[in-house]
Amino acid sequence: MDKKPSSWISHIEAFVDSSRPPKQQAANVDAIAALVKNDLLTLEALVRDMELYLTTSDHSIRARGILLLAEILNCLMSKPLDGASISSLVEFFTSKLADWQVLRGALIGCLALLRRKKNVGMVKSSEARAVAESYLMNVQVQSLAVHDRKLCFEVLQCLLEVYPEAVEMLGDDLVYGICEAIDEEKDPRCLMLTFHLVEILARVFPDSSGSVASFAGDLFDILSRYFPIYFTHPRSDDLDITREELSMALMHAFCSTPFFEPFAIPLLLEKLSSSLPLAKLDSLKYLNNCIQHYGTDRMIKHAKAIWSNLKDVILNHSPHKTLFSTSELAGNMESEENQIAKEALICLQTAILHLDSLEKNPILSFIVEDEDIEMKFGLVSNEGTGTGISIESRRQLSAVGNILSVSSKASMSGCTRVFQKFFPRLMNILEISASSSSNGCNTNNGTSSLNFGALYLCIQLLASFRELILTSQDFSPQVITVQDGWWCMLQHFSGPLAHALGSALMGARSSELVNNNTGHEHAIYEVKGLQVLATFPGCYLPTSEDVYEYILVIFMSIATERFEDAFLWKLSVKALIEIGSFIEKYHDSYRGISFNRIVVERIVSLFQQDDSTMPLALKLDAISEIGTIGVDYMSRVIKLLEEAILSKFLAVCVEGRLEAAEILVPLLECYSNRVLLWCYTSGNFDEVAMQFALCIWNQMESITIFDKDAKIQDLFDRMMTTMKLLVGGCAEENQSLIVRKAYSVLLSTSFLSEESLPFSSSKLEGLQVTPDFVNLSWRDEWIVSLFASVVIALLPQTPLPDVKLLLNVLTTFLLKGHLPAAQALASMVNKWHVNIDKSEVPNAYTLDEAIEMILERSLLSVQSSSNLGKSDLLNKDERMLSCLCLLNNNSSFQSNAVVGLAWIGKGLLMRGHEKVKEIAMLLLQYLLSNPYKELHSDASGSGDSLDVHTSLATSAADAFHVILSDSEVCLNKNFHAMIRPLYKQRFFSSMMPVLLSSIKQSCSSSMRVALYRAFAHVISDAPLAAVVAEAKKILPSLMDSLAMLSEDVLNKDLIYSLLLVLSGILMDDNGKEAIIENINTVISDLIRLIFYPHMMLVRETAIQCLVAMSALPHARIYPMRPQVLRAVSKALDDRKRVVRQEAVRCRQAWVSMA
Amino acid sequence: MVTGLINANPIVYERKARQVRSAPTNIDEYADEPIDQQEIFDHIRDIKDPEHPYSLEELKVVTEDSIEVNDKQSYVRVTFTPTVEHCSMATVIGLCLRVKLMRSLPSRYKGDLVCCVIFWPSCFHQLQYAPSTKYLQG
Repeated sequence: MDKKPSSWISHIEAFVDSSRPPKQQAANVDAIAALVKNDLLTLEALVRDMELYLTTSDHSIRARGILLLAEILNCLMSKPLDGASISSLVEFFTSKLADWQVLRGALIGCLALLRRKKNVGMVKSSEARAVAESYLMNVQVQSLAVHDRKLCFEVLQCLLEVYPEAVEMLGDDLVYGICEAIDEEKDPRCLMLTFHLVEILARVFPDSSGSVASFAGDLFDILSRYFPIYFTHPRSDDLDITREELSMALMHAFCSTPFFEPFAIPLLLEKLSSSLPLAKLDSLKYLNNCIQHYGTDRMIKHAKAIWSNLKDVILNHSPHKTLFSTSELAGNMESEENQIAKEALICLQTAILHLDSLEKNPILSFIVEDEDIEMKFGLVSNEGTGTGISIESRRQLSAVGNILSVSSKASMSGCTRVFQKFFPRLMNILEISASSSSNGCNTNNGTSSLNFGALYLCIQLLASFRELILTSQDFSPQVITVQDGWWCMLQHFSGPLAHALGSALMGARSSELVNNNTGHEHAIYEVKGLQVLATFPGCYLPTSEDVYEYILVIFMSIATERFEDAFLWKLSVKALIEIGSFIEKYHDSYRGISFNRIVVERIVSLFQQDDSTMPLALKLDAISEIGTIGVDYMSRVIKLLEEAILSKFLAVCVEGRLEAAEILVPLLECYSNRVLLWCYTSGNFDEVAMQFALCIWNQMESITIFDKDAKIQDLFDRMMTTMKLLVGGCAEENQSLIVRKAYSVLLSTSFLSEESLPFSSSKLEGLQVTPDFVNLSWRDEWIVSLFASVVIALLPQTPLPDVKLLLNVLTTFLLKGHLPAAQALASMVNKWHVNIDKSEVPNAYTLDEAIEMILERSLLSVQSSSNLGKSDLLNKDERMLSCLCLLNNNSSFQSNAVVGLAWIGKGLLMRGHEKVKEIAMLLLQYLLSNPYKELHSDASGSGDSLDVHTSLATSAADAFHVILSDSEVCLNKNFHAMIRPLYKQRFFSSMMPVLLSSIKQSCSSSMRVALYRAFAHVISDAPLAAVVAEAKKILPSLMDSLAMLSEDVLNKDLIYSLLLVLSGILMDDNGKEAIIENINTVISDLIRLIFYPHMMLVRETAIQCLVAMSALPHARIYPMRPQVLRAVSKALDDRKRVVRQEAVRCRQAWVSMA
Repeated sequence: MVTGLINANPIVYERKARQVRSAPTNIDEYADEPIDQQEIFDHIRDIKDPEHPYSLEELKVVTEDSIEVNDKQSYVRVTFTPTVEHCSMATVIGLCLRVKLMRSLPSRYKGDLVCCVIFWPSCFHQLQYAPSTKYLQG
């Protein structure tokens, strides 16, 4: 401190000088605060040295000085200070509150001191009171600016929250002062504080004789002016306060003390009838909260008013749509109307809960005796059979239904009263008599139309009653005494009711259901009614066992016979699942038995029968739904499905019954999509999947002869996908179990087992040299494919048995054009372990060796089959390739090799291995190899050999697509591929220069086409961002390739993806520059593509690109305008509507730019 | 020249939801999709009324049913109903419709085949556009 006294004095000077920028001033504060914090300067010394600034008669300097001290204190909140200095500082700032010129500094100082925590030295309570007194005497809050007002409220809040006992003594003065301070406040930030102030104030004076009680009228008067909050500030403001927050704060203030009751409730009830939806909504929310906070005694006198107001709201705002509530229609209908009705019902429920005690039920009495309800009840329940229910009576119906259900849901007594009053009448209307005989349904059969209104109300009542029992059951086990009158009534009626519903449901014509909504509504409530009756918990089941079973039988008969009516079918299956889940949840073993007998067994037997009346898809639906009830059910379903799959598999593959494949495919789909998914979420995937995978392999092992035709591509793919999913989801140890099993089956294939084990290397060698020799049996093909699927889905850490053999076999199959084998190889190299311990596994390959082997073998085999001697070509890729290109008798072979190379390249690229470059270069060589040399020497056979070459070049070009595109069948996240981030970008940026330069050098047109094709694949599969960054370089070639490729119909998809790249470039700023540089070519190419005959999307996108180009700089595009307009006018007569519409837009854009 | 609005307070109707044509599942690249009523209507529904900031659709000046179209013979006829009888804006509306259709339809529809008729049910007051006789009363 003594060393450099001047340094911090200069800070003070800088701060006091108000012309400096605020940032610098803040830095000055920080600098001094840091000195004090590190004890380089004591507070005392600071104050002493600042004396002049703090006491000068120049107002602005004094204000700055005090502000500085206050800000410094603010920074020292966590530094312990001794009591004496705190006392003197508080005294100082308290006195300064009277000095209006320095008020801001004083307020900040007081706030900083008052906010101090106990452990660092706090302000004493007497001093706090002094602050409050001085504040009340001197500060005129409403005459200050926003920022200062906010500080004032913060000081008050701090006083009330931290020193309640100190300020309480101020009593009326304090409350009056606060009233004065918050009156007429308008800034939302301050309002948040004032609302909160009232809330704490009420907490400080809870007594009925306290100050808040006596000032309640005034306080509420101030608050009530803000209700309902009307706040239309744009959200993007720095205030960061929403209407909802303000409204919540005001609501808390409203509810803060019961003394507001005489003022608040009349206000809220009045606003409830406002025409503003927002006011209504807010009133309901506030009322709901106030009822909870003001207490029963105070609220009871308002009961009648509350009920009549709520009734009005509910009756007038109930949405008619909720009648459909079981379907998804209600979900998107969150309109204000709906919200109002919802809030009103919540409020009614609170009112019943809080105001109705055991002996008196004011609200319930009102409800039960209400004339409106009585009238509406009579009206809607006599509405007739439903075909012509008007929207208005729908509204009424849902309103009455909701009121009744809320009131019966609230308490047992409410339930009793509502039930006694209305239930018998509903039964009367539905013409159901309480006969105890099981066949209670009477005259109603045949016509099958129940009164919809009554039906709806009846089901609502039953449902809420059931809910009440369910919720109350949790805390008191025996809620209902069986002697209750209404309980007997329910028991008497439930049987006949169930029968009536059932017969109505069965009687409904399916044509009725399909054609009109009323039929649907009826069905919804009939099904719901039956479901409710069947799912009363345990001992409260009102229905007898017979009725319960009757309900299940009804649902089952719909499920088995009425499947042509999709809506009803789905409803009843869903109801069955609900009933099942209910039983499962409450462990109702007794009812579980009959559920099993009637439902599960029936569905299972239905599934097992091969009767064709019921569509297989529905059977699968039903059975997989049943499985979702619980683990036991699912394991049964799994067993069933697996048996079915295996037996059908046998039927297809051994007996050659191809029609079984049509069943097997959906079976497999259902198994992999639904069952496995369920297992995955419920956590027993591993067990199930491993078992089933092993089962399949056992089956494969046991079948020795496959039927000839047993190769149906669809089935083949499904089977492999299933196998991949099974293996992919398993844990490592289970995977290795499966692999070992699969491997042992693989060894039994004819091409491996003909010779005695162990395989001689010559055998393997022979395999490779003449890969075509093996007449693969279907069995072998199946086994290899399934084995490849297993390999594809393995985790990287799962060990593979005998890698060498596998590599050989898979490479062989790769060359035969077996795609799964290529993918399996790719997966192997992708997941290859990098650091294998050589000493542990002596004959393990490293990845490099493996790749070397694959490449050599595949290339060598091609070479040797062409009767060329094995010279030293092996080491020289280039020379070998030139040999390859000379071949023309074995082109399919070469294509296979190319495809295989592509997949392996993809695997390597994804893990970021260097060798991928080598493969890419090989592919490029294929593209570049020139067939003309040979053409000259052998003119007669030239056409043929040219074809061969082009097809080879094409497959080499397509290989780039394989490398860069995402694949669903292998090498993805699900199948645990190693994926390095940005691998596509890397490949793109390394390949692009090479491709561009070879395009430039290429001389023959066929070679060019192939190169452009490869180029197109690379840019359309690479991420757009990477392509756009290179827009300038690639755009000329892009346009050339569009022109070149559009000559062949087969390239239409490629053209489309190129156009998408172009439109991506058009959207980017850099890209636009590139486009402008090549504007002539781009426009003339696009114009040509407007008339591309083979694909609508191409034409559409080309026109869209032209639309986008109309926004380019005017000077550059204006010369092109006539040309474009001419072309687009022709496009107005396109054969496709979408294109015509785009053409209209495009024409408009180009016409109007002149 | 009338200074005030001809129909100061027109009835505004609700706009029909844009019909989304169900996309055919199996798209035949080479099949023709002839120009139909809905397509013409889509062209003209959003034209703004000369007097009000509402579209012709909202004022029910044009409806989908008032359009006759025959793509094979390149023939379109749009019948429109001004909001009030004897609306002097009818010519302007007619011109708007005509220009919009000229710009949106292929050139084979050119000429007198594009024909707009004002139709007000009570007095059957008609007005026809044709290239030769620009204004024709019947």
